Order: sequence, then structure tokens, then C-alpha cells
Amino acid sequence: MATLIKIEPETKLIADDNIVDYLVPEYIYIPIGDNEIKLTKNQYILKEEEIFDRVYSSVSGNVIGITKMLIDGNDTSCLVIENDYCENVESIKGNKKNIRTLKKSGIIDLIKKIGFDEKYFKGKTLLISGIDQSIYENNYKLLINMHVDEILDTIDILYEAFKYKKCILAIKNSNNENVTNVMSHQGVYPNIEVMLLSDLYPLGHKDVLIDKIVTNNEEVTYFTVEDILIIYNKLKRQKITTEKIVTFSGDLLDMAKNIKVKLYSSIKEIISNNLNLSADNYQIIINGLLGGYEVDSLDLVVTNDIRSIFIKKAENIAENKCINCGLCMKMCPVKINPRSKFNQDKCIKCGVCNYICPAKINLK
Amino acid sequence: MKTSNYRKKANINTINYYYILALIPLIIFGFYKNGIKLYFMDLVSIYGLFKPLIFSLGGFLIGCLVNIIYNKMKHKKINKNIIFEDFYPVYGVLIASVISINTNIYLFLSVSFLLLYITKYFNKPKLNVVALISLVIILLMNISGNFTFSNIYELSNDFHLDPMDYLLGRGSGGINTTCSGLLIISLCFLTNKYFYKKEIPLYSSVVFIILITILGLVQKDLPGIMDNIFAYGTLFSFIFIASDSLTSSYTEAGKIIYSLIVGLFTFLFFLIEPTLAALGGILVASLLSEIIDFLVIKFKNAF
Repeated sequence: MATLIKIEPETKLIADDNIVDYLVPEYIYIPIGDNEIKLTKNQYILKEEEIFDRVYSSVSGNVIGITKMLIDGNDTSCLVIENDYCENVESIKGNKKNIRTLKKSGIIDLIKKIGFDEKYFKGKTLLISGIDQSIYENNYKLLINMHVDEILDTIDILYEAFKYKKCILAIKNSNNENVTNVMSHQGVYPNIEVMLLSDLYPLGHKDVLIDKIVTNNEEVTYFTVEDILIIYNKLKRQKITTEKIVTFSGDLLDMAKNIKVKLYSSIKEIISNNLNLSADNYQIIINGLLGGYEVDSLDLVVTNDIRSIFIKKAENIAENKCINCGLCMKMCPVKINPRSKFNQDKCIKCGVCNYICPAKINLK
Repeated sequence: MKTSNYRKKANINTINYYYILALIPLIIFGFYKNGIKLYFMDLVSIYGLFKPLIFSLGGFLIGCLVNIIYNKMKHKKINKNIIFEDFYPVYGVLIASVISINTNIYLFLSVSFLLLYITKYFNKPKLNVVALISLVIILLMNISGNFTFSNIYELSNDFHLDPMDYLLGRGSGGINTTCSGLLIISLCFLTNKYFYKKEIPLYSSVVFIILITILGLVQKDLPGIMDNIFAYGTLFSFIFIASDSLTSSYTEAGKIIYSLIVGLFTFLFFLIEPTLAALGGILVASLLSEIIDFLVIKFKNAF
């Protein structure tokens, strides 16, 4: 069983449960990657229009060119679309079929266009994580609070269509509102087993959560509540999800906020319109202070993989010599020795070894 | 793309601070037993009153001084982090705690400084510095004449101690090592700290107590069992010296094997010279700790 740790959060870095909307970016930046560009300059793009394979525009507007932006920490060429703020979409008739009558293949046909194909559904247990992956992140908690009906309904549909043996929704017992919301619906969805887990790190990591919940090594179908909402939008509303909640926090921001943003919008633009950044010399950490990664500039783009942005004072932490305390190994949730070359492929990059090391050695 | 470097606030300074905090009650008791009490009995002068504190403070300062000089030689800027970059200040206090009150203060200061400084440069394979230096000081004092761990009051009386006396620190031993009651409180305090290798004092004490009990039963000396367990600073050595982070094993299985070796060798040395047994046992085990960890990791990865 994985070792889990309690991390005492700094109050200033915790965002409240409100969500600020910033859904009017001036431009969006769609990563080109290996795709061939078939669009021309000034071509008009509709919202939710497929630009590349499974990549959809989050706004409507004109293509204005190509520029370099940071995607997942790497400089990447992006297609720039200027938002016309009209939110024009192709008119789609709502799905008239009763979604509950859909069989397994029908569901897969519908959702494979948003990236979920058959391989995602292998396993006998359906495990849905409502546990945020890192400290100070609130995304899943807020999604459950806002969309509890939609989430539970979609889980139930998947459970019945794919004939899972068991269906578990894992949430933190410290999120009172989540617990109340989910529990009040339990009578309507008796197939969904709600598991309340302690607020320990890194329970939000897929492998750790599976290890904690599934004891007999059986294959598990794993989704987060965010995935479930993406599936819900496609199944029920025939819509592509083009928005997401990102947590902005850090000691250099005037306050921590959860901001609902358009996919592919610029982080720099979001910050300048919603927050005050009080210094020029800062560190930017993406996706969690412990397991995240650092980038050099704010020329970042919101992608599906981004959950949080932390902006903190730049500091040089002096490394000491190893004091042989063994805490890195003792606290490792997957029980590997970060100091040894063995089994490094098992590392889940949760950052616990780095966090706990009293000698401040960079172990990751 | 760099990985995030977010850290827990606790560092080596914090560990040093907790060790000192755990040692303070023992230092105060050592001051009372070997200073205040003797002074009010008119057995020692004003220097004798403060001698136990001078040892502890001197040990601490020697540890700091070694770190300062070492880093000065390396042209590093001296600050609080440099002084407490490792456990040397605590090592100084530990050495001062296990030696006898009859130790020559100049010998203690000079040998401690010299050996701490040398081991700062060369400590491969890693030897338990506290055990090594304490042994050297005790041996040098032995060579220099009639050496004893009893203070002047204990020398002048013939005591018959029961377990409660050991809990209240009435036995003879190192300057700050005799009060088993306070030792147990310090152990409880350290056991709650995330960095402390609590398995080491636990397993080594269990092994040692079992072997000592068997010896007592074989020799039909039942009262002597308690005496052998609580006297000679053995528990202090297991709690503070054997669990030294730097020179003990760090793997889970390694810690157990290391503790068994500490317990076993302490017992074997006990048969030869009880006052040096725990220090000798720890020194041998520290010599083996790296190889224990290496073998544990190799064995674990083989399966």
C-alpha cells in the first residue's frame, strides 16, 4: 500500500470556491504539432470546428497567422485565431435518442471523436476520481459541486452500457460540499459506490488511487470527473468541451483564483485581465507545486493537460550533502528508491521525495 | 523543462534543533547531578559547578567551529545555514554527553575539534563520528590514569541501586546519560519526528536486553540484569548515537539489520568492557551500514 502524506497548505495560496469566468480571450493559440495546415489566412473558423485531428477551436473568428508559444513547457508553433466574440457554432440538432438506450458501441462511436476510444474502457471496475491531483488545485472539487447531476448520470450510463462489475466515485472527505452533494444523490444512483478518502497526497495520482482502492490487481477503467463531463457534453449535448477551470495561485499573485477559461487561450492574457502579479522575478510552476514542472515564461497556452498555474518568488535552494535519512524512499508512494537507478520507470513524478528531503537535494 | 522545486520547510537546521531540544532535559539533569548537587555538598568549586554545562556548550561550539573553518577554507560565505549544514554541532553535544565528568576539558576540546575536522574531510567508509571520538577520549583518559565514570560524590559512597534509581538518574555514567526516565521522554519526543529512525533504538535495545537477560539467567545474577541494561549509557547511545542519520542504514530492512548488529556487538563488547560496549557496537555497525543498504537494495531488485 502506498505511503501518503498530509501536507499542511498555506492559507494564502488556497483559492475559495468561487469561479471567475474569463471566456473572452482576444486570441487563441492552437498547437500545430505534426499536423498539416489546410487553413488559409483570414479563413473564418466556427467555435467547436475541428482544426486538426480531435483538436477543436474554442472560439469563432479568423485565422491570423502562426506564432511560437509554450505548450507543455516546450516552444511550439501555434495557429492564431482572433476571437470575434460571436461564439458562432455549426447548428447541431440535439441528440434526440434516449442516451440510456445506447449500447457500448454506440457510446464509443459518439465519444471517440473527443479522444476516448475503446481502449479506455477495458477493465471490470469503473473508477472515477474526484480527487484533485495536487495541493491547492480545486478543479475537480468545483466540477462536482457545479455538475453533480451530470457527472453521476454519465457515470451511471457508462456503468450500465459497459456492464462493469463495480463503479466507484472517489472524493475527499474534507470537501464537505462535495460529500453532501454526492450523498444526496446516492438514492437515485444506487450502482455508484461513493468512496470518501482522506485529504492525503498524492491520492489524486491515478496509480496511487487505483492502488488504494483496487486490492485484487484487476484491470480498472479510470476517468477523472473532468473526463466524465467532457463525455457528458458529447453524449447528451453533442457539444465539444471548449472550456476548463484552471487554478491560479502563488505568493506573487494578489489572490488565488479558480478561473474558467477557454482552451488554447493565453495564460499571460488571463493573468493580466484577472490578477495582479507583483514582481518581475518569478518562478512559474505548472500543475502543482510538488509534482509540477517549471517554465521560463508566461507565454503559455491553456491545454487540456493544464490544471493549475503557480507564480512564486524565484528562490535558489542550496543543496546539502545527502544525510542518509532514507525519507525519500520511505515516503515514496510507489516504493522506489529515488537515489538508485533501479525501477525509475515506476516513478509517478509526484515530487514527494523532493518535497520531503531535508538536505534539499533535487531528486526528480 | 525543469521540475518543480517546492520544499517542505523543515531542513537539516530543523533536525539539529529537534535533537538539541531532546537533549536539553538531559543536559539540565547532567548539570544538576554533576554540578549543582556536588557544589551544594561542597564537593566541587564554582568551576566544578559549571563543568557539565561547559562540556555541552563546548561540544556544541566545537561542532559549529569545525563547520565555519571547513567552509572558510572552501571560500564559502558563512551564515546560519553553513554552521548547521550537517549534524556536527549536535555531535559535539553528544560527545560531551557520553564522556565522564572526570575528563580533562582541554583533552575533550582538542580531540573533539581535531577528529571532527578530520572526519569532515575524510569519512569513507562512514564511521559513526560520535562513537569514534568518544571512544578515543575515553581510551586516552584511561591511559592517563585512574579513570572512572563516577563523579566525586558517587566515588565516596557505595550505592545499591534499584530500577527506580536508574529512572531517576542515580547511577554513574556519562555526563548527560544517566537519567533513564528523561531518556524515555526524549525518545518519545524524537519518535514523533518524521526524520528520526525510531526502529534503530527499538530493535537494538530489544536485542541487547534479550542477550543481557540470557546472560543474567545463565550467571544466576538477576539483580545484575537491570544494572547492566540501565548503566553505562547504553540506552542513551542507542537513542541518540546509533540512530545518527548519516552513518546508519536508511532502507527499511537495512535499519533492522543494522539495529541487530548494534545490539549484538554491544553485547559482545559488554562481555569485555561494559563502559565502552555501546560505542564499540555502534562503531562496528556504522562501518557495515553502507554495505547493508547496498545488499538490501540489490536483494530487493533481484526479486
